[in-house]
Amino acid sequence: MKMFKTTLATATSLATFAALATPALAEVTLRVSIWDANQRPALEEIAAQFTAQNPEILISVEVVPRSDYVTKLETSIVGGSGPDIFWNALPDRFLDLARLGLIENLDEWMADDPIDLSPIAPSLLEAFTYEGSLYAIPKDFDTVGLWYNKAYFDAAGIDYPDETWTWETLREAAIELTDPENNVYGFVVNPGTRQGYYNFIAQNGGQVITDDHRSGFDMPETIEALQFMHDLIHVDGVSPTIQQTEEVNPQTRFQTGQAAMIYDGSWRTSQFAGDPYMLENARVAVLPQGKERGSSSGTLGYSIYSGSDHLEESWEFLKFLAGPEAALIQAESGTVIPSHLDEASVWVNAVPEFGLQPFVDMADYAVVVSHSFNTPGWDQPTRTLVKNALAGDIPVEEAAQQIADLMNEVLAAELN
Amino acid sequence: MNVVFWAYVLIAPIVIGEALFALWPLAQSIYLSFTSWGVFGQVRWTGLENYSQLLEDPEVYSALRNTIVIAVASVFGSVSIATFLAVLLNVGVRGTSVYRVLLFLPVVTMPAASAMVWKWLYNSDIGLLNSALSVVGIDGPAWLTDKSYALWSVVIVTIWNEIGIGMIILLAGLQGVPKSLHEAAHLDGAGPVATFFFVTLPLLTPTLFFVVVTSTIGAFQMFDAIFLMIGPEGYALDSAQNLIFLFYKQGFIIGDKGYAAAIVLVLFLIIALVTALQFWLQKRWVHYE
Amino acid sequence: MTTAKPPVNYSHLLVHIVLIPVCIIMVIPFIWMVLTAFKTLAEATAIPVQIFPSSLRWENFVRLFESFNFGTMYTNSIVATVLRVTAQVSFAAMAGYAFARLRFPGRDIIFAVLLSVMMIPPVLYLIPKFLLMAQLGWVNTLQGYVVPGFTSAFGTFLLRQFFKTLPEELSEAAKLDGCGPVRTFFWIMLPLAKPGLVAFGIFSILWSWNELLWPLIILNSPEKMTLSVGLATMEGEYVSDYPVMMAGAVLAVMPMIVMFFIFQRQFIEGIALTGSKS
Repeated sequence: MKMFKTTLATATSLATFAALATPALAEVTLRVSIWDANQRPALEEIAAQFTAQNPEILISVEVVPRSDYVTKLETSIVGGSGPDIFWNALPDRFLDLARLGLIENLDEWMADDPIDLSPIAPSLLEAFTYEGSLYAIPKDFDTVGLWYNKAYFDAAGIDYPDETWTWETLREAAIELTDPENNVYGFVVNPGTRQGYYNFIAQNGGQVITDDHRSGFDMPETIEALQFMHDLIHVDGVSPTIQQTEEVNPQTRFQTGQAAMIYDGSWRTSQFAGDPYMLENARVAVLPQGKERGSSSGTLGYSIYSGSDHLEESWEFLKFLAGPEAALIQAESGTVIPSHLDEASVWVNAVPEFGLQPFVDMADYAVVVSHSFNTPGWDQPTRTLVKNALAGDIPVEEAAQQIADLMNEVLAAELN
Repeated sequence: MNVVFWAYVLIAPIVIGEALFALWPLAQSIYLSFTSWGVFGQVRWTGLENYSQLLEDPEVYSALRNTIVIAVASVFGSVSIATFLAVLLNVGVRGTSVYRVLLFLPVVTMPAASAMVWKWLYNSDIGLLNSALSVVGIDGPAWLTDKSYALWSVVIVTIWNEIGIGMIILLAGLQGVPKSLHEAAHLDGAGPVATFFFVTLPLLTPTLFFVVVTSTIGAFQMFDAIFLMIGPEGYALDSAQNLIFLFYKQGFIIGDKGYAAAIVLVLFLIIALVTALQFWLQKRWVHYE
Repeated sequence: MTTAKPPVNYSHLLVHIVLIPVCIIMVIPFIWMVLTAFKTLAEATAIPVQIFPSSLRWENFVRLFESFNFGTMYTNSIVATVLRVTAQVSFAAMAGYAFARLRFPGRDIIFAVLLSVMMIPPVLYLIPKFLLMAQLGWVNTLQGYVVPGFTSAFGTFLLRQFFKTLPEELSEAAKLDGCGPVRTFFWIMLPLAKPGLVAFGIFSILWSWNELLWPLIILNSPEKMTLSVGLATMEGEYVSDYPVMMAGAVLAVMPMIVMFFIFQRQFIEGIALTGSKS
């Protein structure tokens, strides 16, 4: 659209003019945008170390609530004033940002000024690659594990979950642990993607998007996985209903002792670590196995905004963020698993009570979040239909077919 | 000449401000509604496509229905309760100013804060509302997550939120009704109810009209309560979302800004029509002295 | 006379009997907010419902200032509100007066257009407004936050109604004394308009204090954030400490309650004078 292009052009040229007018040695402040307030202290410490080495570059960390992060990023980039460096998550808008050249192609920068990316897991680099080039430096990754409350297992005399567990063991234990009189559920079926159906689908050999860019929701494996989740609620009665879960989210239920087990991410660690009851009772195991092993995995990366007035300085800071010192500080904070796998043990030991090693172990078979150019186009309606199916409003099979149809429509339109 | 010049100077800030921050965005939205807007500003002219899509979209129709239900129910509910309370407060009992503050409390409460607390009150397991109902033997529903209740739960909060404003304005209007008229009615042998309906109410109609018009405009744009209590991913969202929420969802979550603009323009048109209709109908029930 | 208490008091009693339960219902959410603010997370989510906290956890409030920067946000909200309200009230008074008392070409059309602005849903402005701010270089600045909120169509409408109620003879007399429109406005009309200004001022303070979406979009740095944004930020996927959030809500609402309590008489008087002459 002309109007916006002109705006963008004006903003950019004004910015260039401003950059030219600035004396070379003046102080520069880089804006770094993130969404997790828990991770701010670690990032500020990294920034302080960086500024100690580069006194002319200051860093300002901006936290935007997750629910508004994408909206705000989009609005500010269209307005030509995006943050210099920001967190990029999959799916969000990574592919669009890369395709439209709104974030820097890091391979081009590395051609002149190489950085050592070998400590970073290749699958994570792969996730942030678009048309053969890297567009974000993965800072961390996460997996989903089985958080359980050991007090309830002790009381019921059941062995703690371990890598021998299957869906069947999960179901049996959940039945055993469900105690309606004391308002304790054995398990909470999370209707969301990351803590919910992405895991079950992967474990049953299903897919969200197939290799030939079609919806995987009409695969029998996918339907079976959704049916298993549905039955935990409606047949076995071991989980609160979808409606109840909307009212009190699974992590709060777990944290207040109203659920014996939940599927939740490694990112939950710092929240639970602040609660003495959790430190005492919460433990982690790998996810139970279906037909195969699977855990939904995500990763966050730092990208440089191409409209930044300070590309050179941003690159300097990005290099630092990709380096070992930054990875170590982040790992020590215990908030997220660093992308440098060598430092993962530091993260595991940051909260020794929980036994976090399974989160790192699951990296071997973790499945990165499904995404395509127009992820929001199918993701939003899919979530709604899955919720309806899990609530028992629509038969699972019928919902899955509806999802498949609408996804195929969106996915086909993307290729044009 | 001098007067005209100064008149323009006096209205200049408002005119410039509203032109820049309201009319210009409106013009842009009209343009947008004829385009397909990808993220980050890539735009394609698509003519009337968004509008024809809108006519075939079942979500639009259910959102339209919800919009109307919310608007009618919340305006009717809040205005009638507000009138009732204003009349009671106008009696001038002791402690009137305390009552006024208490009844006005919802209005001054930040929407983010009141939505938070209502979510907890509505909770089917740990909420105060259902605990209270269980005392009298009623098994309360899941107010915000049951599809047959969610819309009405939102309406209740909206009414709760709006009563205070209406009450204060109507109370102000009542204080403009001369006491002598009440006394005259009393002498004629009219009881308090008759006095209200035949003396007070007709004189209150200009104020009522103002309250109804402004709260209708607000009710058509009701967004905060749905956003904060049910949320863009809420299970019961389909049963409660109105047009403004659908606009938000299409524009900011799904990212189809052109389609979103078409939706919001339809809403704008509806509001304008309803307001015009109200002004046209006012002759029939509003009594000016 | 033995009938020391006239029958009027029975009707007063009846009014109290109706009003007290209504007030309780209206205020329950607020009481619940205060009670929850002092609970632990476990108490807040207990089944069956636990009405009173076992002890007053002032830590919840302390945490707001220690971990959520509430002090700075308070200051920011106050500064922004003062600026916006001052501008909104002055501009609306100027224009309201002009529309009510002066004759100039295009008056009715301009006024009608202004009225129709009230029907535009504010979400619509978000992106175009931001683009404009970006062009001005005002993103993440105080002026970027407050300036777009300097004008109010509603306020103009309200104050126009108010000025219309003031007797015509006043301006006639002023004119005879040789006062121009501006002097008439400042020296005669404005002092008389005080109740109207207070009434609109209170609306304006409420909106400004509670506004969420615009500051969220336009402000970036934590040291510039306002209270309403801070409150919304607390409810996230990562932080779900409801009692602390409720404590934040209580603190955010307090100043508005105090303000309304102090100014309610003027507020009602102001509306009373505008409302009856539509």
